[in-house]
Amino acid sequence: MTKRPLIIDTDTGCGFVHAAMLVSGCGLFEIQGICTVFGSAPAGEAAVHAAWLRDICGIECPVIPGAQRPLLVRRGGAAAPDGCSAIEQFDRESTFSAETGELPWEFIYRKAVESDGEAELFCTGPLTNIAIAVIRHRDLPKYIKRITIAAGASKAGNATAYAEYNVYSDPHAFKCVLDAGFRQIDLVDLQFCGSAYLDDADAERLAGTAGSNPWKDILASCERERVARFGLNGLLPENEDVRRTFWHDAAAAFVLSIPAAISASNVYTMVELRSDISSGRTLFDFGRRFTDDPNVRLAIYTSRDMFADFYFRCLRTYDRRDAE
Amino acid sequence: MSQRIPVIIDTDMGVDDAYAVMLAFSSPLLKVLGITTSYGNVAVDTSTLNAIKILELLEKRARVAKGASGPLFGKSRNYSNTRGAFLHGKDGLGNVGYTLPDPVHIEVDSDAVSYMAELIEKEETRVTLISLGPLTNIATLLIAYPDIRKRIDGIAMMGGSVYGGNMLPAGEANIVADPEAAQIVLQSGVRIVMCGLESAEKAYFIKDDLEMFRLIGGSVGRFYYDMSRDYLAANEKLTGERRAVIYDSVPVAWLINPAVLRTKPCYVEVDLNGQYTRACTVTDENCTDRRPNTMVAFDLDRDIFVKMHIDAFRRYR
Repeated sequence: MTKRPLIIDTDTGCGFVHAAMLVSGCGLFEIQGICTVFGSAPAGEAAVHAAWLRDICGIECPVIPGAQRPLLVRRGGAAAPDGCSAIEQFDRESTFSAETGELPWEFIYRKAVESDGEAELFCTGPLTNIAIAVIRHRDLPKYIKRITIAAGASKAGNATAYAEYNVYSDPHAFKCVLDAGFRQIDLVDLQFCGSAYLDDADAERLAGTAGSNPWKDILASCERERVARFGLNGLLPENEDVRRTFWHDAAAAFVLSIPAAISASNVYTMVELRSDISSGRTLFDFGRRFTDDPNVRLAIYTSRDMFADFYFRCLRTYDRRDAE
Repeated sequence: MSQRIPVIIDTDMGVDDAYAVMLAFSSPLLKVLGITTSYGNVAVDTSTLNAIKILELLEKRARVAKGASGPLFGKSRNYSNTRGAFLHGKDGLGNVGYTLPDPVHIEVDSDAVSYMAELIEKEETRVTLISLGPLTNIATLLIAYPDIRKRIDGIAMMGGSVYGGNMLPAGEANIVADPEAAQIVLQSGVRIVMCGLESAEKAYFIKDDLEMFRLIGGSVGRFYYDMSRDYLAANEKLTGERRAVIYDSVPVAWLINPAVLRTKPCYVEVDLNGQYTRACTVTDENCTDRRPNTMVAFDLDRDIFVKMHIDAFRRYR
């Protein structure tokens, strides 16, 4: 089977740990490169984390450090929900060293053109790198087959009452990407995690992961950090004793890998830029009151069991690699 | 029986407002001191006429005072081709208001705000305001009579939404009509119960419910059935579901029986300058930085809601 060419753009927090495991483990992609952006990891650390994860995945591709700040807004205060302290507990003997010397927006464009319109983008952080790529190369969208984005919230946010962190961190970049004319934008908002999560039984399966699996301790560390930050579940406060392990980036990796495994709604999506208190909020015109021209395919729902099966199928591939 | 709760109803009298007023007057727990009117579903003159007609239908003697014809800032709109006219009919009463006789008994006052102040000052106990339309009258009251908030026990309002709007992506109709007024009210320090779309959209009647009202409610039930027919059809065109959503009965229902709603204290403020989010009631459920200022309704028990209305119609037989 021909592998799908993929460029990853990420802020390399704990959520991306799961996403990297899935995207590499599923065997569907030929990963061309990992561009990093400010966000979950402190400046300078994102690329180091990415290179470390790349090596665990056994991927051969460059890591390209990118934007350190948003296009316009200056944010202070909102901590990244994923964080990355769980990653920093490990001895990250990183192979990162400004490998290509190329800027991420130039790298993305070059790879997209080389792919003959088959390249896909997978974005799990603020969209600043992609926005700069679009601004620099207006024809970029025609070379990208699909862009899958972990961003936005149709209900409660995780940066403010309504804003999701990746959009909140650079709302203008998000707007720029929405308006760029990409052929297909698959948007995975926070609420999609309500159906793409792991439960108590899955936690036991995770704990039983083969000791030789390189992800075993890393995933456990990420889970400990998640529970410490958000409690057993982060979505359902009325059921505090029920585990709902969800990682936004992992849910997006699932949508990226098996786009047919979800129900979705084609919907016109807006982002608030002007408001003092709602900046970075994504709004979805589900009722088609504003326009009949949807600009994204919004992931709505998937089978939780299908997500969990995918997750563990990917995780087990690392057992096999170890055996080999 | 414990003392009845004195209330003033501020309404932009359309179909669902008529249900709310009927429900309030039927309850032995509430003492309706008066009705004030405003623009919203219909123009204020129509709203006022409707209020008088409904009171006469219900055989209730109460004064009605006409209030604001438009928002605090900006222009009033033309009502002939609005969502309100589509839903509530051009007369605001499901296009059957003409079947009610011309009113003869009820006094009309021309200054809703002074009238509210007078009623509140006169009442021995603190008064609850029930807001069913844009908050223009109540905001004006709070500005013009700064000390009056001490005499107000709370405001039970139909308006706002936590997640999505019905007029704008994030804006509910009563807040969209006058966001600045809503902000004044929310920031006033008065106890507020916000019955927004999360609860109000569950406050609906199906055709069988309406048939029941017609059978048990005498002439009142028959009029409400007729009034709801076009409303039901218009709701179906808007939402795809054959339901008559009776938004405005929700705050009244809560006053009668709080168990009808699931509420949570939140901090709420109105977005006044967003491009897409203007008029959104921005609701911080976790109150991370600020103290809660509003009890927000997140869910409604429809069984209780329907039964309350059945009981109410029985009292009008």
